[in-house]
Amino acid sequence: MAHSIRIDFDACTGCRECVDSCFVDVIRWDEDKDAPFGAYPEDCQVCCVCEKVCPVQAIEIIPDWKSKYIPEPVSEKERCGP
Amino acid sequence: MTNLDSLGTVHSTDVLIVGGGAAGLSAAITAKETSPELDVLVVDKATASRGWAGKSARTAGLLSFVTEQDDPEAFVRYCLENIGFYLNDQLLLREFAFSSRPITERISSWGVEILRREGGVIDYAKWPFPWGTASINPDMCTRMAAYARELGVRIIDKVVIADLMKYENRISGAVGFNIVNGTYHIFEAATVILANGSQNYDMTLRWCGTGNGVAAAYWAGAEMRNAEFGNMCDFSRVDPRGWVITAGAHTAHDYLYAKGENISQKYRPGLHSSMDPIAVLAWYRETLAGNGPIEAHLDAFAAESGKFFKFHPEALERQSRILKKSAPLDSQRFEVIPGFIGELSCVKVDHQMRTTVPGLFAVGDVSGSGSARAGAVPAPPAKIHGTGLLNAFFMGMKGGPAAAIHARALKTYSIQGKADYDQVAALKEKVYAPMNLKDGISPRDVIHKVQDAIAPADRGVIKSEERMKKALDEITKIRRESDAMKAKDFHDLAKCLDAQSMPLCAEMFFRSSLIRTESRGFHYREDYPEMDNKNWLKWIIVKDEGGNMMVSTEDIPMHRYPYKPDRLA
Ligand SMILES: Cc1cc2nc3c(=O)[nH]c(=O)nc-3n(C[C@H](O)[C@H](O)[C@H](O)COP(=O)(O)OP(=O)(O)OC[C@H]3O[C@@H](n4cnc5c(N)ncnc54)[C@H](O)[C@@H]3O)c2cc1C
Ligand code: SF4
Ligand code: SF4
Repeated sequence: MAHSIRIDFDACTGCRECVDSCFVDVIRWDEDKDAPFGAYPEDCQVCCVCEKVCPVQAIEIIPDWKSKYIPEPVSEKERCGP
Repeated sequence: MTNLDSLGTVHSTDVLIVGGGAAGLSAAITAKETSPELDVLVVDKATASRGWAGKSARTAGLLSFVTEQDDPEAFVRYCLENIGFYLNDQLLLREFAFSSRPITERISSWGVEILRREGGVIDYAKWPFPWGTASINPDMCTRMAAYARELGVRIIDKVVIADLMKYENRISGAVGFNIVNGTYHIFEAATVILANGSQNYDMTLRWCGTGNGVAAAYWAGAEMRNAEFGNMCDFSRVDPRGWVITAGAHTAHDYLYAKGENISQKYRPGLHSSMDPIAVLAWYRETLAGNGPIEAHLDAFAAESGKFFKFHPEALERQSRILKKSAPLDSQRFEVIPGFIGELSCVKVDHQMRTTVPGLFAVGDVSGSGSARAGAVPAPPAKIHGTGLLNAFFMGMKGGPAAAIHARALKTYSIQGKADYDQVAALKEKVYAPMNLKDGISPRDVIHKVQDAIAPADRGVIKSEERMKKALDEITKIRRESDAMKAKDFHDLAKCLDAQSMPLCAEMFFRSSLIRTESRGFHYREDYPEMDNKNWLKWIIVKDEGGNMMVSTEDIPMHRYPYKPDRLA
């Protein structure tokens, strides 16, 4: 699973603000459907700026925290005691 | 002569700026103001033309400066004694201290909104240290980008700069690709300013620096400085369901508890302006002693250091949205684990923000610690909240005019940035290689391996020779593996560049850290826990020589500086 970028296509006006505002290229414009979509949700940084700039609240970020890769906090776990 | 246009779209400019965050836009505006006749071009992989690019577009809007109640000279002394530990370039630090107030006025004139009291005086929260923290609207880059465009600065969005071009020993431009449609772009430029951020290893959310600029400068032969300090570390929240929220609380460090005892006070008594490795040491030692889980008590925070932060309403609204997504806080007390942030920013620059390669400048997070202004710390903000932005403005305002003067001089002598067909063709092959492979390791897998090697607290923060050697072995292997990466599309191709930059940066970090046999600032070694001014008032320099990473030291010119550590005097 990954974070999900939910778009309400009935409400969306197609202004592309969400595409422009995403700083890590998660949201792209689908030329065929003429609408935005979450192309790389796994890279979403949950900054919520896309939600904030949408003039009609048509976009929603639903994070999946389990999907984020987290290395062990200590490399030598055996030293960590019980 | 073979036609360059057959390889890709050719752009010519006088000053090419890679990265359009706060540092890149500051450089663009001041370069154009210095020499309006020059062409100034900003290229960014995000939408910089509208101010939506980089960490700069995601800040909390804190802007620290030396207020009218503070003595700039006291700020310099405080930074030397408590933050940078005399590894600072004191001349640059002094200039930073004295110019911080004028900077606030300058950015206001570009349209950046700073909260003010009645009468127009800047409002700020006063720390019990020689600075205060003002609140700016986090949309600042939107305003700066509009102002830059009004001045005639050109901005190209969605292009990833993959490498620099050289003509003889000097920089002659850069090449890159469009992240959406994959087209190849060739930029001929007399002068290039790198403003493309630090290295964050994709660990903590929103800390999005992937070290492309550090890598490009290194490949071009530039020297690196202070790479051993690239290890900012905060704490991540562990949700009772086991989720880890790597949002970078920036607040837990003074309020860590183990079995009901405040271990922050035990290891690091008193009030601290921000995090450092000792806060992580407290977590690490108490965990090893079997006193975990370690908790952060934010209720204690709210009562104390909460008063040092004031936020712009826009910043508060953004924060509250994020907080709601991060699973509701059932309690103000929760388990934490170290949350590695990185912030390697080691491209070495002088007072004009020139790197050691002619024609190449670097400003902002890419060269924050390489400038040595802040000393033994990673890219700012390090220990002073709100100096990431101040530093980006400061360095941009110095590098922009210097680069413009440089480009103007070259123009006078008709030395233009010229692309060489063979070089451009060879770079094209290298850049697109991961698209042409049939199979290969994915860039994400490479990135996860780098994270495993550097992010654990006992690797990236609490260091020892034995553990660093293990990490270096892993990194060397990862660097070899990353030669055979497969990109699925152009977004993935940008990830491949990140996945090349990350192990390279990690190697610089560990090689520099191994040499420094002492502890100082953000460099903490369990096997050398003391500061050693007799042997280590030196900078560590990293440089590529014929494909090998060479590490050497450079004496700090203490004789030229007004302040010396006690033990030297
Ligand atoms: C969540 C968060 C909150 C923060 N809050 C504050 C705060 O309140 N106050 C403060 O002072 N500091 C804060 N900081 C730190 C501050 O954001 C940075 O120090 C500052 O923004 C750095 O500016 P910069 O222009 O050097 O880098 P960035 O803003 O990161 O800009 C780098 C630019 O380069 C582009 N780029 C990167 N690689 C390439 C490439 N290969 N090709 C083309 N373009 C490229 C990126 O897209 C980006 O736009 C915060 C940081 C984060 C992550
Ligand atoms: S939350 Fe931020 S990172 Fe995620 S899609 Fe929206 S703008 Fe992009
Ligand atoms: S910002 Fe909102 S309205 Fe505009 S394209 Fe995106 S989802 Fe649609």
